[in-house]
Amino acid sequence: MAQSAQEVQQLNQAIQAAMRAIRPGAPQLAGAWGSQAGGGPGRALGDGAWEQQLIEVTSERVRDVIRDEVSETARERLAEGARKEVRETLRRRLADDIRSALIEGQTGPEGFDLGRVESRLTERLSDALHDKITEAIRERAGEAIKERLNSAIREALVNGALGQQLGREEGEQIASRICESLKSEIRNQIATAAQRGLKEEIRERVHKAVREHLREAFQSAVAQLQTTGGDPERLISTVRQRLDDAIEERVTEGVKERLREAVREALDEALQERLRRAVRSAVSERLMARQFGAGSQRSGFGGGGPMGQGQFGPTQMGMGQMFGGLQGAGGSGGGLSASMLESLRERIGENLREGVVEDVRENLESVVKEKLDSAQRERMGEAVRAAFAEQIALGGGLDASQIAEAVHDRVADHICDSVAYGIRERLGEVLHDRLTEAVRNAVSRSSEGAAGGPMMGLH
Amino acid sequence: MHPGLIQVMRDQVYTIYRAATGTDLPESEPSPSEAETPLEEVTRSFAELEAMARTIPLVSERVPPFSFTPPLDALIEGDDLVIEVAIPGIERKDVTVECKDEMVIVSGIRRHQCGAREPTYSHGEIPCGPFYRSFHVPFPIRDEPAVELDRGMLRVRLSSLPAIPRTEDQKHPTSQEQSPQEGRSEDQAENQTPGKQAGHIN
Repeated sequence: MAQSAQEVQQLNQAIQAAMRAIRPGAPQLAGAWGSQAGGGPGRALGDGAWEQQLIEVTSERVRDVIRDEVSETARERLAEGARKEVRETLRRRLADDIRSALIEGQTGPEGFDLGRVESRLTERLSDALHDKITEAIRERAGEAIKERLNSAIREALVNGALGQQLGREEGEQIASRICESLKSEIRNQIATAAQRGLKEEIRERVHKAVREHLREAFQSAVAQLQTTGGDPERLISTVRQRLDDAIEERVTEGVKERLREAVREALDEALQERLRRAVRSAVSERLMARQFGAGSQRSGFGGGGPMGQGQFGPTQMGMGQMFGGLQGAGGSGGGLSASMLESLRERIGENLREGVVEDVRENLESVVKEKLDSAQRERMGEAVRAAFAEQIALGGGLDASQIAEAVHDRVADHICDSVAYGIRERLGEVLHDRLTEAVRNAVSRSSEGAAGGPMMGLH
Repeated sequence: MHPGLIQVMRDQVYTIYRAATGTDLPESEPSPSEAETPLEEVTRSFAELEAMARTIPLVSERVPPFSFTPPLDALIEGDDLVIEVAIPGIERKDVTVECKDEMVIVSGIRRHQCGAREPTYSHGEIPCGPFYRSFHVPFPIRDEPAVELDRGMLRVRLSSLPAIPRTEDQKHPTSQEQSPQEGRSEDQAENQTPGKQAGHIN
């Protein structure tokens, strides 16, 4: 039967009117909410059960997806970065370290001792490799997780309860908020876990490779030297060639294995409490934007109860499901009153005062220590040796103040640059995280206050 | 399209409007100067409205879901296969049962319990609007099924069930290959589907 054209047009008009009515900021809503039949204020959204449920469900889903999808990708990328760093470090310093170890191997009480060379070389190389690898991991961790983290969270949200409740567009916005909030935490946790777990692994692997190959490489190089003649540098070059690949392969393999555990640990650590907070902040932020956007929609609103479990059920989606896809209705608009702005400003300030000082102090302490340690390991020995060599070459005995000055000249600039860079980088991270969190918390708390109760259900 | 669907859609729009504003949607006559909007576009707008409403929990909880898939049981009673479909609050005229080869298709619309006007939904959970359910039976359906509606339960009785081995607790047909038996059930006389003219709602 053909539908009456008039009926269809009437339906269309009704749809347009209803659309205008439910769009955020719709003028009809200003007074209309008050006249809604139902219970008193606080009952509608009052117990916040549905937000709570939404946050729980969303946190679980995001956690599962991140565990499944992010850890392996991150591990692969970090392992690749570590391999490059190992190769580069060996290229830059293996020959020098072999030379130094050989010299030190001659200084024992019983003359040349290859075992001593082995242990000196292992020590020098493993420290250097550990520093470089952990630094590379710290630098790359953000990039390694970023892409997959974002898409995994987006996928989890848009296809999950949140996406069904709030629409695709808002789901994506919330996903990027959560990603932003989790990224630095996960990155820090990965860096910490890597630093903690890799030291022994690297040392062991380097030691194994050196023990297996050094003796043979050294003997072969000496034999070559005896038959063909040449300078000691040639010997070093031969030993280096034999050791290079073995060390690279062993260390990379060990790092890759260890990273699996480290990344998993880091994710678990980062996702424990942080995830829930991130989801809560992101959800409340979007809902807040909506409520501000809807102007005075909420005032005097009442009626209805909390969402039932069935709210997440498939049949509840109705036409949204039937027509495949939801339209986001969010978006902020409308104005914040002066008093609300003032209150927000105070809350943000309060949150910053509470958290930033302590966080900055802790982070600066650790970064300065880290950079000084690293500079000391990398440069100090060389600088002292060079200063002594310079004094000896100049003749006239050893002058402590001149040696000190020479050492200072060699390391001071590097330490300053390195510490400054570290502070700048770490400070940026801390402030970004803290500031974002402070603003979110303040906005979230203001929303509760503005509602005269736990409107957002964020307890 | 089901003849009653426009009405059900309109009721849904009214329900959404009322859930959002607390007031009834004012009646208006279409202006003669306005260009007619094609049904297809109106349907799309309706879907958008429905989706928008679902993004606002305060509205969503007061608007029953639109469109659904009713649950069913299939029971073996003697030589008959009885398919019971749970569709509460439905009228017989709003249900269509169609048999095609080895498929039984039940479709129709469930109208809003409170139409365009009062009472207002305080909480809407029981779905309304179009529904559709198909069920595969493991034998070709030759005869018209007997259909009856009793207390929200639609029963579709298919006679000529092929002889299949059954156990005590067997409820669902499992045999795929046996041919149906001859003969029809006595229950088939009343409530029969008026033919195969039914179209799908969704």
